[in-house]
Amino acid sequence: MATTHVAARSAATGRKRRRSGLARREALWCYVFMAPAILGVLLFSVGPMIASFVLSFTSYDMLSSPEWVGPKNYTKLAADPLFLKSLQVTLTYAVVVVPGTMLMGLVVAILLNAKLPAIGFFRSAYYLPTVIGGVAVARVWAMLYNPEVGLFNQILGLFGIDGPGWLTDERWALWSLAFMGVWGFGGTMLIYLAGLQGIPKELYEAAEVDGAGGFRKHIFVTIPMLSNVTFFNLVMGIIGALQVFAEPFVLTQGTGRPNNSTLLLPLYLYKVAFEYLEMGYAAAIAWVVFAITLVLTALVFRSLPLWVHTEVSDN
Amino acid sequence: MSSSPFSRRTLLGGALAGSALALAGCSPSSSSTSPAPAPTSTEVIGKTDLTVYAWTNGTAIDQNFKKSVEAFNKEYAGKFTAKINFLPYDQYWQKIQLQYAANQPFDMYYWDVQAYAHYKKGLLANLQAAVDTSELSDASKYPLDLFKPWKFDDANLYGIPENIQSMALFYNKAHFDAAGIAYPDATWTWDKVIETAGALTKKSGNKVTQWGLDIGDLGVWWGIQTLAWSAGTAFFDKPLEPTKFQLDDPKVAEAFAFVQDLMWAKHVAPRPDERDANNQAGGFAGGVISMAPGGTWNITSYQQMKDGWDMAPLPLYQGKSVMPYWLGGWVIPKESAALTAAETFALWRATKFQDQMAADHDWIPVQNAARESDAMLKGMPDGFKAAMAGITSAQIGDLYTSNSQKILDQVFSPNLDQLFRNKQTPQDTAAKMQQGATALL
Amino acid sequence: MAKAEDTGGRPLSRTEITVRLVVLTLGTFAVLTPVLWTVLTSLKTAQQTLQSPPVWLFTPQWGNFAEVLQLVPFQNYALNTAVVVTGVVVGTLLSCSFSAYGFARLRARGRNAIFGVLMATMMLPSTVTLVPTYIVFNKIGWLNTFLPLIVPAFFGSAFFIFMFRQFYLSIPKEVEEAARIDGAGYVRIWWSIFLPLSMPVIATVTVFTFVGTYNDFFGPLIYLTDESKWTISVALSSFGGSPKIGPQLHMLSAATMIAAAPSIVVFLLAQRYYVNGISVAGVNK
Repeated sequence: MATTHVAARSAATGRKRRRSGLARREALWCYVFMAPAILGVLLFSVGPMIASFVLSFTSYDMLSSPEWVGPKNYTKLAADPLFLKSLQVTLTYAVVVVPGTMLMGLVVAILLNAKLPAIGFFRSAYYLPTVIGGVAVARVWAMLYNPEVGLFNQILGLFGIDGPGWLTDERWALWSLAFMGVWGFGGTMLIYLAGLQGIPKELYEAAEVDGAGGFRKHIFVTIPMLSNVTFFNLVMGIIGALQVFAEPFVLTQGTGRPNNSTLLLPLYLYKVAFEYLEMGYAAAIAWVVFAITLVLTALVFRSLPLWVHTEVSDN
Repeated sequence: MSSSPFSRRTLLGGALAGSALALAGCSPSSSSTSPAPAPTSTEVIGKTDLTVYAWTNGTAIDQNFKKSVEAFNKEYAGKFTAKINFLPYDQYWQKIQLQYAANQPFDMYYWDVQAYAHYKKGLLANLQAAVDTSELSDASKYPLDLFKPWKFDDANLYGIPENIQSMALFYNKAHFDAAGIAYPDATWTWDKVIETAGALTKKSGNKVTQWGLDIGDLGVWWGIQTLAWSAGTAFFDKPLEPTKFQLDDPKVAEAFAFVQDLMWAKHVAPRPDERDANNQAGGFAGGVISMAPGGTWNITSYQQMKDGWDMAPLPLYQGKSVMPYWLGGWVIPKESAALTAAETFALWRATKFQDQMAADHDWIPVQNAARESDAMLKGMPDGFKAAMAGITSAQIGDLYTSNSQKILDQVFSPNLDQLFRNKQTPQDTAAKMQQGATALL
Repeated sequence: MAKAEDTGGRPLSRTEITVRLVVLTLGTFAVLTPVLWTVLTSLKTAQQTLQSPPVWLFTPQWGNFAEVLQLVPFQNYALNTAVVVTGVVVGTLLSCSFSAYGFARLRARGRNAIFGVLMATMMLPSTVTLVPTYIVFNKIGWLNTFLPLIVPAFFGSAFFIFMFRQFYLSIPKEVEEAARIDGAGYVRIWWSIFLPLSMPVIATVTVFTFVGTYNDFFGPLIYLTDESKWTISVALSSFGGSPKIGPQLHMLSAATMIAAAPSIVVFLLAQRYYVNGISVAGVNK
């Protein structure tokens, strides 16, 4: 982060100066200004994080006092068929949606990154699905997935194919959900687009001189130059995929049917916390999800040097 | 969505209820231990503004609820003011529990089995004293035996019953007339139903345009359990705090196989995906189904049907037909902010309001006179009386255990879904349900 | 119009332009199909929605929208949503720009460490903090009020603080110094100099916050009990099982389009702020 360096440098010069009353006053005000953010971090991030960790070792239904049960919630998790199923469903979902979204985002961004007629319209059109909220997205897709009169089966019907129950057939439900997820690739696309605009044109010119065609240019210039953007999209994509709630909730009336094949972790967490009021157990689930996110993110970070193109930074 | 075979019986309808009087000793705001007086003279415990919660049952039923609240307000003008809030069923229980957790319980709410867990946690008010002061305790006027399942501690009522529900075989008269077939009656066996269903099914090309039969509420555990009852068994040893499940009885798997075959082997009833399509076309009320075993709470939605319809007792399964029943009514939190008002309202609905309830035709009153009144029968189909005749000896179709919601959601519903989708054999379904339910008990 | 160029700045040939436009048009059509299908369904009669093969030519039933508005108290949901969205937008703008001023322009020990922690919270899945946060809001009696949805917005949000800070860092020191000489305090400098200067960021943050809050489902779902308090997204989620609207595809579609319209409109009006906002994030990471 180039900007952080600037800030760090000015902070360093500040330290060298003798601490005058003015500097002390400035520091005081600095804390005042930072106060909302600091309080926010303490009250809504760090505090609840610790609380939920402690809570995960208790049994608590919110009606009676919490009861310390040690690691029981975690051992129970390991043997809870619904949790294991939910975990498997969530990982499958993420494995499809995260790369799917990134691939679509990249390809469309490259196509859009040109001075073409009506380019503004196209950008908006591809981004539009992302501004529609999860509930409306679910409703919209339910119309398409309707087994009898939905668009998909109507089209298949033209070819004499009896389409499946997209959301009611266990073999299809999760894929239908994932397909919906990929539809929201607009956010990733926009970030790629911003990244593309930062690639120096000279690099492409150099590649052309070397005789690279359109496709090879992207392989040798675009993709390496976007590796940091890809990294950002990947991490955010993983975090996002582990938090999908509205779509399965609305499409299955909160059940995760058929046969729990759409029971994404947040949905299971919701049921445990708010239907069964097992707050301690829910906290344990949340921590396991968090741990998985951390491990995945750490893996991505560790793999960084392997694929992220590091530019000589500007300072 | 109505397309779910697991829609709770309550999805379509809900409410009824009883009424109750304050049990003074239970109230947090009163240390008085005097016996609970009649509602009009009782010391008011809690607020006089009452908010009643029920789940939404559709415009017609919700409207009637609102009207009854207005009538109550008129009758108790200057004393109590009630209003009613509706919640969607799939959020209803969460909200009730979360309000308890926030120490702001609802003033009163409409009963379903989930409320039993609230009793187990000591959250519900004992309403026996209130009931005792009203005619709801009069055995000559009310079928008191049917209330027993709500005496959770074997002695006291924790809910105030106001209406009663059962199941019947609903049929479309127009379809029978067109095919020249005689209407079903109490002598009909399932064999006869299956045979007739074949004759009533109509196709246009490959597409079935009229189904002779739909599994209806046999698609829900308590529906399919009525078959097990007829065969002489049940899913568990007793409805209140069962000690064991007995789904491993081969007769249970046999009942499962029976319903599965209706859809798959025999295909006289639509399969799940076909049911979804049917429901889109309005289901039985839309005139695409000739016969469907279902709960009496469906009656309201059939009232506006284009075709004539009627009802008959459930068909005989293995020579027998056992009638289920359910109570509708109200429970009141111990810590209700309007205890007296809540009890008064519930008792009022169970007593004075019963005639109007009969005339509204949405709920079937608990009061014998109202249930058998001309107002009730008028506007009901001819078969109503016969179909309800056995109600006083019916069996309760509920399961009362603190984990019941989990057992139903996590074990019964998904396994039956697999069964109906032909993804699981009846034997496996019964075995898995037995195992899963026992583990959660 | 500027000459068509590709990513590398190379001029595109006529054929290449045509190919790209065709691909993009087809893609646009595919991406918008779900929405278009819903719009189409919302204008049919009940009977037309059930026809197979689908009817493509029909008289649009604009009345469907009026009917939906009659069946459910949409105005009420809209009012609730407006209260929540306004609260969150105001809270976010005030707290984020305020804190960002500290992070960007003032020096104090630990400032950068704090900023680092703040940025790290962006990676924290909300599921981890959900349970304790809910319990606390529940126990302090905020259930069934808008407070749990609005109050946290007054305590900043990492991403938006970051955006404001980036912007403030680019403002020359002289602007501030002139004001200091006039005797202005830090708060006044922030309020009367920095805030007015940051209109582009304010616009971006407003649009993002608006759409995010408008679409939020989980928060309203768990905190709001009574229908009279529902926001549009919670209401829309309940229509599927609603005996009034649910089983009727045309009503459900119309309700969906009514619910989706505000965020679509805001987005269309403020497209450029989206691109700006994302650029800030994208360039930095």
